[in-house]
Amino acid sequence: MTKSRILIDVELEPAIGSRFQPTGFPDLGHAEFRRPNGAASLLVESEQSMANHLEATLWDDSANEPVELIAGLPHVRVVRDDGSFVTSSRVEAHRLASAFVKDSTLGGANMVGIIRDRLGLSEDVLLDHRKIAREVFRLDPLALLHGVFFADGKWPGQPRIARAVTAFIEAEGVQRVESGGVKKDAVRHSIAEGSGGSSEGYGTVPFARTAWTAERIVASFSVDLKQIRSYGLGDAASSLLADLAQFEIRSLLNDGMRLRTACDLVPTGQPVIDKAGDPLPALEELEARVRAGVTAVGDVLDGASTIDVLWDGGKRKEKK
Amino acid sequence: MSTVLEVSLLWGRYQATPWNRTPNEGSVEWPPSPWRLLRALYASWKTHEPSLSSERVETLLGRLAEPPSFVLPSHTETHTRHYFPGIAHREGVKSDTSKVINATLVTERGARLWVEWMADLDADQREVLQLLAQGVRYLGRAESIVEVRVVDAAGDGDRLDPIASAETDSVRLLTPEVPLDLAALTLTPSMVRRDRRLLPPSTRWTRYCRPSPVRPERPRPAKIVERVEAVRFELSSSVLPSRFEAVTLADVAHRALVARSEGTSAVLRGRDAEGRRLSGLHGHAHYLPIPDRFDQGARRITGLVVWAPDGLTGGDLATVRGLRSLRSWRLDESGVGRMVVVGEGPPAVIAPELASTAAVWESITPYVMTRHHKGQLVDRLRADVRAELRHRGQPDDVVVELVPGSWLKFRRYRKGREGIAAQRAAFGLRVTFPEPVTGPLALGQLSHFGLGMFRPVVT
Repeated sequence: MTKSRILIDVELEPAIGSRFQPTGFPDLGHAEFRRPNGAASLLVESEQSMANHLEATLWDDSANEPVELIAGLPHVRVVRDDGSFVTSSRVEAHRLASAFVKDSTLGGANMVGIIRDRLGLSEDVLLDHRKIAREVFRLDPLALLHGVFFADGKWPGQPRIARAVTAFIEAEGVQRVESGGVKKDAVRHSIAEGSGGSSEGYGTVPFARTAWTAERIVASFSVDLKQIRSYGLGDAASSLLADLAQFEIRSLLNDGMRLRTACDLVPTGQPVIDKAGDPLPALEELEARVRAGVTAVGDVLDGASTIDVLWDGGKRKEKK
Repeated sequence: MSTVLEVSLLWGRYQATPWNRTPNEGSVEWPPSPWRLLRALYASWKTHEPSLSSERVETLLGRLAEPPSFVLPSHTETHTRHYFPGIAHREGVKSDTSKVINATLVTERGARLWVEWMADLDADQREVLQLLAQGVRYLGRAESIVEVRVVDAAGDGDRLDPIASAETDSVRLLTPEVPLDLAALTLTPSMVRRDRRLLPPSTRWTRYCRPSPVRPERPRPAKIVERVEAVRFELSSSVLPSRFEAVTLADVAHRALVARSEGTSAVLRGRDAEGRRLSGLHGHAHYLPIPDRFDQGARRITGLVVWAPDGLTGGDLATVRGLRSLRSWRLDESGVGRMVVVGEGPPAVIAPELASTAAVWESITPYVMTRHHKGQLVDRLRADVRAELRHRGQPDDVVVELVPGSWLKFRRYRKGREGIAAQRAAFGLRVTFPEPVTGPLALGQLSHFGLGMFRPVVT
């Protein structure tokens, strides 16, 4: 594994028709920009959004738990005192540093303190990055792929692990397609004073919609193998992380990306090859590698397994 | 000989906040400051090459303390905005959704920038620098992935050297003071602020000429004259106009568009520059109100089609597209608050209720004769309809029948322009053509204002 990075560009096209709807940003609408050569481009899916899609490939939404393939890898589950599921470090935007984890307790002790002690954080002591990486691996290995920032004053040094997997989707040579429609109300022809108006959902409301066509839609993926190796977890764990990253990418490409209602993108069918010329392995092969990898990292995990932490409902605590 | 680092922006995207600015100011540190580069090299050492001795690394970094020159690729700028997922998540407390501006510098994919120090390194130091350079995986945000390596010379691009005096159009970058203070290099921003400093100790601002973004030439498209035959609006209002006020609505829309175009558009106005009515094949704008239903149960007008058989282009098209609302005393309490364009194009596509192909057509709004004829009512009507069809270049061998309905409830004069004495006799008709014809079909008096509208009866 001497390659330092897996860099993949995949050409996509809308699954039906030629129009698609990109991510919208507050106040901005769609993020158009021009490259210096003049090409009109559009950010179809942001890095943050793609990270969510990649993580979703390893999470079973209906059961609120990780997919069976990685059931052997630990994570932090947040539950209420009646045992019902609240959230988990896999689902939360801030992963292990989520407020839900911070406000929870394990065996009566507050999670902030537990994490602080496990990562070996203390004032005036140098951050030991390898120890931190190892302990994060034992809490939730996927946090080492998608990044985690222990941003809280109670964690001295506030260590940060940058994301090792990055992805986004851009379109080039874009043109707007304006259309619109009417939400008809066949029952209520006019809105009289006092009865429900359009804000209540009654009435006929015309609307405008902007979609786009593009000459090229490209999804770009990067897996930073050098960063994964720098965690110092050893070959087995590093390989597992790299395989997990590739599994996420391959899953996403195979299933097609239904990003939003009017944005269903599928690969154009060309072989998926990284910049170094190596093909992205097929799903079955990656699945087999991950399965083997999960059993091989037993000594790194050192007995760690999924922990259930008790969330107190987020009530304000008294200052200690 | 100098020392040159080549930085490849693999995805052509670079996001880094300048020192002393917050991310929400939307600015990008460009070029990457020497301070950032040195910190990146130091971090690379500790993360990827911890076996290198501190003596070798510290000596190397010390050689790179002088402010370097840059050679930059061309760039543009963009940004996105995100609602940051608040970490408050507390019951009863308003959720924290601050908006974060993510400013990005865009270059071509794989574009390279070079950083050149006037420092002569020996072979060992170059080797150390090469190792450290390989460990710099990103600059700024983790998404700004880069590849860094030592090269012999910089390539082509805009050269930026440090400048001595503060010119107006310069950018300042954080650089270390010489000799390099490694303890200062490794301070975190919070430590710097804790000591009540704006800048880390042993640093200073160095000025460079400001690199300006390219204003990319929009590729000039072939001159396409956009020509649209009809624009369909959907009306939205608390009280929509009654269908009997079709002429009023059409008149108000006509006045609004003439006013918007300041009377200069012959197509929209129906008169030429001297104010004379346009003759010819009725190619100028028709204002056709669309009722909510096409049977006797119709009550309100819900749409309007502005149809110009000669086509709407350029300024006229822009004028029509810009129509947003119709307010007039003529519409009483039912002034139309909002109009939204829901279709542009051939009438058969955007208003198939009016414009598909059929042999039998029935009145939506009543027909008013244009000329005097002799004879029985039906014969007079037939003669009038035939004249109207001939005038529009349509086949005139038609059968005309009367259709009962509340045709006299329609207002048949233009309110405010004509008095009620001008109200004309009106009739509902069924017109049968020998062969199917394509609509829209608008005949008779005030046909440009919504009277004499027919709908195709598709069996």
